[in-house]
Amino acid sequence: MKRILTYLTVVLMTLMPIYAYALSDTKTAAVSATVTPLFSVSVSLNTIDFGSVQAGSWAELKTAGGSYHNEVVCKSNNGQTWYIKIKVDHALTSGSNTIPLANFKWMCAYVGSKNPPYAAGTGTLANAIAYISFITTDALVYTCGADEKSNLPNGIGAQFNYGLSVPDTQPAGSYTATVTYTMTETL
Amino acid sequence: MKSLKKCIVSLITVIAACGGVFAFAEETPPVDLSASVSVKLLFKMDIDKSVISFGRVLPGEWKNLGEGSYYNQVTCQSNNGKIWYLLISLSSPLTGARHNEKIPANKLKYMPGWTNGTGTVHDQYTFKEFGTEDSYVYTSNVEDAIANPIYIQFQYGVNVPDNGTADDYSATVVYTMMEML
Repeated sequence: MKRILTYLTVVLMTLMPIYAYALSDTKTAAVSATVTPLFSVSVSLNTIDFGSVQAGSWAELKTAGGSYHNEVVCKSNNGQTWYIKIKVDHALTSGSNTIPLANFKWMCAYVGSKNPPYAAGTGTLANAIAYISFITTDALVYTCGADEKSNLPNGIGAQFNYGLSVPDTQPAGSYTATVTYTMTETL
Repeated sequence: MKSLKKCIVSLITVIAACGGVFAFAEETPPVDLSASVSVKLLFKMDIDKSVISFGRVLPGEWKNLGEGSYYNQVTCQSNNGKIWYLLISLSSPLTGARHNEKIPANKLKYMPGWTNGTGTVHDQYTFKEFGTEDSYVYTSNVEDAIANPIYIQFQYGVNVPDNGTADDYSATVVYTMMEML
């Protein structure tokens, strides 16, 4: 009995420091930050100049290494689907003369990431890779892929070619128009 | 005769008065009284600002709260006469409310600054990355545990990744004051 009591006392004295507690106090602070939306479109070359074209001929612009003429770069960190659209304000016009709207064409031949590893776009081209006639309302070019909704820091690039068929009875003149590229989150 | 009587009366009066002066006060034996008081244990911490709001930050931007001074101040008090420690940690990485994207914990930083304490501020005036484990900020001396308030000041910084998704991000910073076993 004495031995048992002694053993018990020793065990209890050994365990006591384990159950002694360290004083502590805890407080918290709420951290917040708002990452601002970045949503922009830029064009590598903002002139589409066919130069001097003979009546009755077809002219094509692929000035960037022979593969495309200009590149539209779309940047977004908004996490939403975005679209590229294109239009022209009117038919190519010189004074009272116009080249039919349908003769002025565009082609989006390639879309790819500007971020390493520079993979091809994962979205959807609205048309097959072929020349499409310009219209004066927005025409859908590209719908971004799910992993392209946020594509910073360098964005996604869409490469364009342009073609012009000049009627063989077209009067001489300097014909102009304005092409508009739009990046939007609405279809 | 009358004046003698007066004299005797005066004398008796004087003697009676002096008798009171020369009579001795009674004394009781001294009685011992024990007095005691329990000083309450004081071990607490307060923060003067418990909201760390960076506001709007651009992707790729570094933003510092409290630059040139301090952003918030922790006050620690102990009268336990033992060394205590102040630690800091982040509950989780900054997480976006809408898209659930995360800004890695190491993009959020703290900088311990001035103290009135006699102990050691670890990496004082240096921005340190948050981790999910506790990091030591301050190791007190025993002199810091005699109930006097000890102040430790902090700045904070965030480095938003250049591909950061637009969103409202939040997390919780945890401050712990503790003694060790």
